[in-house]
Amino acid sequence: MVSPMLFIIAPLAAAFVMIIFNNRGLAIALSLLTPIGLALLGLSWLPFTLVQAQPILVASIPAPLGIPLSLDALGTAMAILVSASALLVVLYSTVYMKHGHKQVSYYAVVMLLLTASFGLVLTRDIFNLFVFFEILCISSYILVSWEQDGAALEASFKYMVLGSIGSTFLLVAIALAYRVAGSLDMASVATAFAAAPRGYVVLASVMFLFGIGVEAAIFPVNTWLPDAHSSAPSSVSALLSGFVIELALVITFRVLSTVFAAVNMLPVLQVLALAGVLVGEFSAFGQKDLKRMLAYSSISQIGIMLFAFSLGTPAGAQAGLSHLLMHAGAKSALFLIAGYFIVRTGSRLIDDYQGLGRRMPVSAALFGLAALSLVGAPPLFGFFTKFQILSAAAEAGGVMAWFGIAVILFGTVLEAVYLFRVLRVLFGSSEQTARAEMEWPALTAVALFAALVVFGALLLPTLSSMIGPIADGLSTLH
Amino acid sequence: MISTAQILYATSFALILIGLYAVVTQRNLIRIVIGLNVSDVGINLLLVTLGFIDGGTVPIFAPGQTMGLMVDPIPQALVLTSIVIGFGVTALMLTLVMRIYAHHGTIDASRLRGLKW
Amino acid sequence: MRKLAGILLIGGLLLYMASLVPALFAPSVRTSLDSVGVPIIQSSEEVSGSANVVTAIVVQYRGLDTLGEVTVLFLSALGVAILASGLRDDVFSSMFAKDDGGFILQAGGRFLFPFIILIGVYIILHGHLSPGGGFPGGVLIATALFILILTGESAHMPHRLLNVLEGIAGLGFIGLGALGFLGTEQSFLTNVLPKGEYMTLFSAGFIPFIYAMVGMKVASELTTVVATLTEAPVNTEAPVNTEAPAHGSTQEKGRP
Repeated sequence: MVSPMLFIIAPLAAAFVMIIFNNRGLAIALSLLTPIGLALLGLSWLPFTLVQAQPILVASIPAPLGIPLSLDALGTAMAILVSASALLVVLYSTVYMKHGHKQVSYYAVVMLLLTASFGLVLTRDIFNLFVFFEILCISSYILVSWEQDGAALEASFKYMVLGSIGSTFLLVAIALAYRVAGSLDMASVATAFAAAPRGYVVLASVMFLFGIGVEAAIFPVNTWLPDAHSSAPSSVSALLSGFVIELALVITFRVLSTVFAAVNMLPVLQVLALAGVLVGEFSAFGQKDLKRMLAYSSISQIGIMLFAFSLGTPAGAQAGLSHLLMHAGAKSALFLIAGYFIVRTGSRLIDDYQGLGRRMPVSAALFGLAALSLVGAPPLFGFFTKFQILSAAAEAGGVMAWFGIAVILFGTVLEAVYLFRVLRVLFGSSEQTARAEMEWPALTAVALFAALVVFGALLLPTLSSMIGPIADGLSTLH
Repeated sequence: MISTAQILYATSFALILIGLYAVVTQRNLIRIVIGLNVSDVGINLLLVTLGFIDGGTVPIFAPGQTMGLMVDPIPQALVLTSIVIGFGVTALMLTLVMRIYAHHGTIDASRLRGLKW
Repeated sequence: MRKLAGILLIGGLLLYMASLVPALFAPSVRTSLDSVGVPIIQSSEEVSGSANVVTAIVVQYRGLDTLGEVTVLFLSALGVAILASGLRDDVFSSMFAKDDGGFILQAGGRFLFPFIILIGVYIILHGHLSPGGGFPGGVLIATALFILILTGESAHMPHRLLNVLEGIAGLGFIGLGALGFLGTEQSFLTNVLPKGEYMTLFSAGFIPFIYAMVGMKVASELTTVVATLTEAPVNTEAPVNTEAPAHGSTQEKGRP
């Protein structure tokens, strides 16, 4: 069996090779082959990790002296999702970024984003977590600023400032953990926190939450997201909204429920989650800029996922993860298509997309399907995932859960209104009928993302057999 | 009697908070970057002090030396990493500030629409 | 309004932290370690062969963190080059007063340059014997190169060469780590090279080699960052905004 270390090493090596040779063709080839290879690697490990987590030894030094890594079911599932998403976005980028500047660097930074993502799911050491988290953050900062127009530069700066504050908080949490535990691996820290004075753990968990929470777009440290995801190139928006913030959310939740298990953060998380849903939906409602609308929608969807996780039940965790999968497909498709809407019309405003459905029928149709799935219309995947979340909440019971159901339903209504408004514009009438469809690589990528939400319902049987061990990863530390 | 360690801890927390205060209240982008750097220094100091032992020596073996009273080497390794990461982020931020200045002619955050919280 | 919220938040944190300081850090005089540092110090000779325990931790016990750190540096250098590439020459020149550093820097720099490089190399190679290692050593070598930049000796650093060095150093690190897969435990970053005689220059397995890679990387990246930020841009075309109606293609010059 090939070592899961390859998840971390391969994209990193690919990035170095790309920079040495500075050749666009080589960069694209590596950027396509690496995710394919890693997705296959993930699939090959999945049967094993569903049964039991596979510990990985680094430097032949086990914890607590060394850095422990482990590939569990959740990690494998996330790795496969990340690889597949990255593959499709790279495919889209080959045509979308064709006229852009410094393309080899672009693919190198995307590869480094992947390295960081895989590192985050594999690591079981809090400082190692910090290092990979920084790589993730810095890659995002660079990618967000890519367009280098006023908006992108400012968005990136704001993101960097908030992210750096978050990193400082994260380091304080790590310092506290080391003080208490004397070592840095998550298992030892969890045990030490269980026995430590309450003040330590509370401060450390709050610092941790707001440290990583920046990247996970948790309210109230998500103010950077609308600017960042809307001023980034659409491929980057798809990467960030599609899996980066979700990955950060999963890691946040997992660490909070395992390492910081001594503090019950669930109520706090529920409040923050629902606040995020409300802020996201209300803000999206009035948006005239399509990408900003989609960005605010991401904030609320993250809120929905966090709400599902923080119900604290296996059903909630499973529902949240299914919704995560659906969102990855739907939001990526929406952003990628939006990118071409902007290119074809030269405008970011929804009103200027009048009748685009005639010029780009396939894209508009896929946009419609993805949007419907996001709202939760049957028989698309989104319906099932949202329903699962609501029923998990009903099952969990309690005031917050019912309040959450109300909020999510209300949010769904808002979503339906603003997304249908877009669809109405798209499929409205227009004089222009010149065909202006996307190039085939972009179209293929979008179609595959959309296929996930259209046919996702068919996946449900397979998904439900696997989701148990996968969701367990959110609350255990194997 | 206040020990060295306590002074160092207090200083490190003070630095972190001063840095954060600067980030929140300053309008000049460069000062915001400086504030983040001050926080970085604070947190690095905090980490290193975690390994402090009164009367301890450097964790490097000289010929014939036994372990004795060596300070904790782990925080030093952590801080090494943290300093490098801090450098990387600062370099990136300053380049961004340069670009923002080139684009807008100002680095006053209150005049830059996009930088409202 | 936001400022007030921020100040309240920080104030609250301050008070909370202040209340914790006595409890947290009460044992005012600490006379022994009780962390995992102890077994590491005790095992470092056998596991790593390095007399400098911090080096053993950085390269071996927590080598993955160092790989990550080196990646962060790589990313920042890349990011700086990407962002600086869009600076137009006219705006750029107005930001810097061109200055060749005066007589002392010119004469002194020329004299000191080889010594600084020598000391930098020395520090890198002796990372396992004395304080130092790849990072400070790399910074020293970069400092020597800064002298070239500051005195105007070198108007343009060879960016392409620096990139290639960066990449090779990175691949070298990964390659040395991959040697670990050939060892008995098949784990990444295991020190499989012979440990040699303790406390001599040729000891500690792959540690000097890894630090050499790190030093090379740090030096080339720091030089790239400073060179990019102080040189006038080679290509003065603004980057094409992808989210606009397609322009003609842009050529890529210089940095990738």
